[in-house]
Amino acid sequence: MKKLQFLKATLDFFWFFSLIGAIGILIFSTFYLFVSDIDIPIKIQGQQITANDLPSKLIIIANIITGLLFLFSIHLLRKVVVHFQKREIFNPDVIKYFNLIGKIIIISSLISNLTELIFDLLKQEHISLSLDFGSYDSFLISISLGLFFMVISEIFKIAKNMKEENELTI
Amino acid sequence: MPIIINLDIMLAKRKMRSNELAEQMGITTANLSILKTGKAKAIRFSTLEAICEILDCQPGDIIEYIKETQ
Repeated sequence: MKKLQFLKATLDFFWFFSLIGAIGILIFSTFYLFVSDIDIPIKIQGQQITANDLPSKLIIIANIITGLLFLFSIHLLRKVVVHFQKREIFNPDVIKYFNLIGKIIIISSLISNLTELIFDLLKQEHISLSLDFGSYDSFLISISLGLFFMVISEIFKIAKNMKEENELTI
Repeated sequence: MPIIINLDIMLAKRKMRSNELAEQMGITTANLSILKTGKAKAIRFSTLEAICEILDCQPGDIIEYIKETQ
């Protein structure tokens, strides 16, 4: 199970540095959005935003929420890997976490894309729809990934029931 | 579940203890306990055959169907 150890190490590494980044962003954004008067332009998803009006502030807040949700899903994934390391493959928590990760990915993807759409509509006064090709950073891929995690959760639920039935056959 | 296991009754009739039956069948007492308490989800034909042979009875003496009331 070398792959599992490598996965855990990678997730832990990513989690640690993302957490530091998230704390920094939270402190900075609180200061930037509510305290400071300086208008430093921020680039979010290829768009230059200055937090001087409500739509800009909302898109920044939505992006922070999306980032925090993503971080929470990584935390849940780490918990799943810990269960796998303990050989608790069909633990009810694993099923619950997979389902939750799927929901979080879908919700964060929706928040991110909807706010971007609303921002475009209000600020740029146009709506654009882009279908990225050959990239993991696409809306459709995010939704598919979320659904995939939910399907994995269902599969684990079925497998858990089958395991129980097998164990309770005398 | 509407399927009832009457193993306790048959054991009492044959004046045999659970651990004796488990030993003769070659299964653990824990597994026999699962069967006796009705926690088992399925029973193998080989297990049923062993019980019937040792207790000298029919499958119907051990397994009973009772319709569940709503």
